[in-house]
Amino acid sequence: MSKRHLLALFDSFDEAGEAILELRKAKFKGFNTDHDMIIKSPIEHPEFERVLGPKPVHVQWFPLFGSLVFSTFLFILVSGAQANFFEQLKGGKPIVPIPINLVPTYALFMIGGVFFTVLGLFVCAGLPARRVPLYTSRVLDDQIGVLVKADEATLPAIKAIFTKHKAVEFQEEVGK
Amino acid sequence: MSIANLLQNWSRYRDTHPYGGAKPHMGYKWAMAIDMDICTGCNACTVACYAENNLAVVGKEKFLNGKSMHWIRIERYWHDEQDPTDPLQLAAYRASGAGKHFPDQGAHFLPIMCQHCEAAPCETVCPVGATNHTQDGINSQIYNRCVGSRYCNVNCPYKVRYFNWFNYQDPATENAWPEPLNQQLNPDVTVRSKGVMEKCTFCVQRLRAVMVDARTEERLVREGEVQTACQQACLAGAISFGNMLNPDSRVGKQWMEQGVNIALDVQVKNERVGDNTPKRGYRILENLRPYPSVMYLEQVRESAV
Amino acid sequence: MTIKIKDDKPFLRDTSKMLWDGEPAAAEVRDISPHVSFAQITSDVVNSLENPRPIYWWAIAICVFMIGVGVACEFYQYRTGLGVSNKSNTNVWGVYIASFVFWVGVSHAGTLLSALLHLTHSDWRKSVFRYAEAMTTFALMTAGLFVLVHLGRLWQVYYVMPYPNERGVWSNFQSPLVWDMFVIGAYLTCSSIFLYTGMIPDLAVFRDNIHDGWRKKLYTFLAMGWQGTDRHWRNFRVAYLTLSVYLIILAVSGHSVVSSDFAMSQQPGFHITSFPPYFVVGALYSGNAALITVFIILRFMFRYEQYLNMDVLRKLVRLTFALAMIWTYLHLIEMATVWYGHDTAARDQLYFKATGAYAGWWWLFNFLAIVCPWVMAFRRWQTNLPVQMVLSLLLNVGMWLERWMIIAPTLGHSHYPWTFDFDQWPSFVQWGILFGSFGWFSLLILIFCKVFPAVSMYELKELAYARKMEAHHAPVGEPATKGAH
Repeated sequence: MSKRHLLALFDSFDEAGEAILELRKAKFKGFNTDHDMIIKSPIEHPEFERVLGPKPVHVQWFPLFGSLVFSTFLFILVSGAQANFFEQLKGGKPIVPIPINLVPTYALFMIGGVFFTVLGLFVCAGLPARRVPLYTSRVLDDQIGVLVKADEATLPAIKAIFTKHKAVEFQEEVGK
Repeated sequence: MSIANLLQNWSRYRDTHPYGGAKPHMGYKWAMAIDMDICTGCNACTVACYAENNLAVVGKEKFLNGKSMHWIRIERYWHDEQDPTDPLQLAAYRASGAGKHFPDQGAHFLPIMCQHCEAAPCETVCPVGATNHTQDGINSQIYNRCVGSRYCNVNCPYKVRYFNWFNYQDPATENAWPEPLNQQLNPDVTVRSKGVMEKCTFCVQRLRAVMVDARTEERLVREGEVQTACQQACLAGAISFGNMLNPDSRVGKQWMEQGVNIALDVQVKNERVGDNTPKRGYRILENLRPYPSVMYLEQVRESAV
Repeated sequence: MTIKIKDDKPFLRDTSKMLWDGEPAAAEVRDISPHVSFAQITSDVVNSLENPRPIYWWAIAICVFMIGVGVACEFYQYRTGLGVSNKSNTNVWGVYIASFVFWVGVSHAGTLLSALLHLTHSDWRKSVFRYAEAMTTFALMTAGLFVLVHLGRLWQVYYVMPYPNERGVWSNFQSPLVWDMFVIGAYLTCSSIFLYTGMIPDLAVFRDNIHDGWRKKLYTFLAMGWQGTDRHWRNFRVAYLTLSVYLIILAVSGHSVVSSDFAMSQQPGFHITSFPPYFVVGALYSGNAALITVFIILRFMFRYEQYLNMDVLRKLVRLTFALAMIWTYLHLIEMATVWYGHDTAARDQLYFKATGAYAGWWWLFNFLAIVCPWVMAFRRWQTNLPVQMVLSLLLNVGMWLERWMIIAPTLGHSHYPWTFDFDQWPSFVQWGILFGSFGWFSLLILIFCKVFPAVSMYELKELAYARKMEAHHAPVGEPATKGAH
């Protein structure tokens, strides 16, 4: 049976949340509440997002990796570069002065972290993204959208739940 | 590659100057001694330096404006009522131009040029590494590497670095040597371009010439084989210059005699030790620990104390 | 180009009706009026792209003129040599380096306001942080210009960068100037990324509300397909928080390294241990004063009265006052340690600042930067726009003088008395380039505010939502707690 999308728009987080909770309880056949349901909202609302169940975030591991790789690379690069000035001391200091090399290393620690945070954001959030079907600009303006993907047969039941919780508008994918 | 190189030569990369795991100079340590008790303040050294090193002659206006290029300058100090450290008096002297505002006697002269410090403050701060400590103990200046950030001058306690504020190189500009004066430029020395820092090099062109000769003959440079331009011109013989590591060198003997140690920041000046003659040797601003390679000799007189 | 604005559809209309009868009094506005609806925020910010007040175009013209003056001066200096800026072999630095430090300083307020207050959940930042971040980026770009202008051989500036070359010659990593290159470069890169990342949700709103023209293409490209899904928001939240942490550290290390240009040298008057915190706080201080100036200008020019409101201004002014007092303390400590210490060269240098050739400027800066901020302590002046406008400009004049007073008297009065030189007044070239830099910075800010959202829409909506929820006495996210496992 073919799957189709349904987008319901709500005026408030509360109503959308109630609707999602009820959907989760209903346990429709062929409708996985963890994967087939997407919330779209104009603002972030971490507490509200929990109705979708546990959704781990892994962005924070990217900067750790980036910082360590960039800083290690830079420390080796700087020390190796200084070793080229073999016989030319500067200011009586050692040719490879460790505390001083830590300064640019520290800067590259930051750059690596920032670059990889953004990379992590793009990877984890799937940006740049194509628009999902049934996009409306109102979800970035002032409405909460709940996008579900379900079997054609279950859609009316889902729609009934949304209507019960004061969904103001529906958009449905046109059947093939 | 570079990591292997680092690990293999690690101890060499951790050498410092002039103390603590100090790397020995490779046969040469050029140094100078200036006896201020002999110096007459005749300015011959300055003139010789201008001739030898193609120093730009900036003219009176720019000179008073602080844009002079004299690698070696003769500073005049008076005792008694004159206080050269008083900024107001000094400013008055500066502003007075050529007028006579100094007493007729009681002058002391201090010829000062780049001190070629062992731990030179200018070297660490140069962003491009245009100034370095060479193996023969000279503070080198690489003109075509210099980008003109002027940080070296800021960090130089003696302010003996001079910046090319204008284009003295291009004959098309008003600041360059006019015809036919450009014919007298020393071909061994570059004429520095606009925007680079320059300073005393211990006449490195002369040093390199004799060092190359010596190397082809598989020996070290002998004492007296090379003179700097200022030393050559000094009629009183107040300036001595040479390889301090050479036991025959006059400058090495002087340093030894005065008990001036290159790695110390306080000397035994004025202490009467051994033969009861007071030590006269000192180096300028030793307390900042740049460990200069130029020793000055002057007896502290009662009147100056 | 047409901008389609949808009907005003207040979010959570019924709750807001329960809250207020009629307009709330001005004193009751906390950061944002609870009557502002989401759609109104969108339409106000989208409209700001199109119809600024006419003074906007006058300001653009003035900025272009200022840049022209600066470029002409720089061209003259480039052709003739740095001598035309009237420096000497004693006063080798001057207005350029002072202005470099000043502009790096201005850049710091944006990071503080955006990143630090984001971490501490200070909600009032939400209406001001976007243009503050833009100021960070543009001030750093201005500061970078001064490094170029300052160099004797500008055309060889790439020597400072560590690039592989066949000669095996690298930049000198021991030099604080190279640290500057690294840290300021990192700061500029990262603050631009931070600015852009925080703007993605807003760019998506622009993309959806603007339907043709180059703007549509630009926003479609920059928004990267942002659709506000839970996956987007979830990762965005963590990424933005991580970026904030990095940015705070970068900002602090950034100005510390700038201060090490001075503190690492052995020039008396520069060689002071307390310089890094002194510089960082001074940067935050002058940056916050600049924020107030831009706040008032944007508020008028782009009709942001609703969002850049008096309550936010009051908080900004209080923050500036607090920073001014911290800076005053560090300034006095710096002088006290020098005065009490045994380094005679440094002490003479301090006496010279207070009594010597630059004494007038030194006392003026002390007055402007220490005494003037006390006006901000009085509640009645805190939201007086003309007073705050003049005051914030005066504070920045004071802080610029502070940087100049770090450099000019110090270089003139070094360890070596023979080289004392007090009569180097910067020539018109230096002043002209400084003048031009203000035009450059203002032009960038003005263009930014016309092309990008100068106040953050999604954060304002969050703020409005939070205020509404608080007023409703309903715990935020009630269904969420039920839904959590």
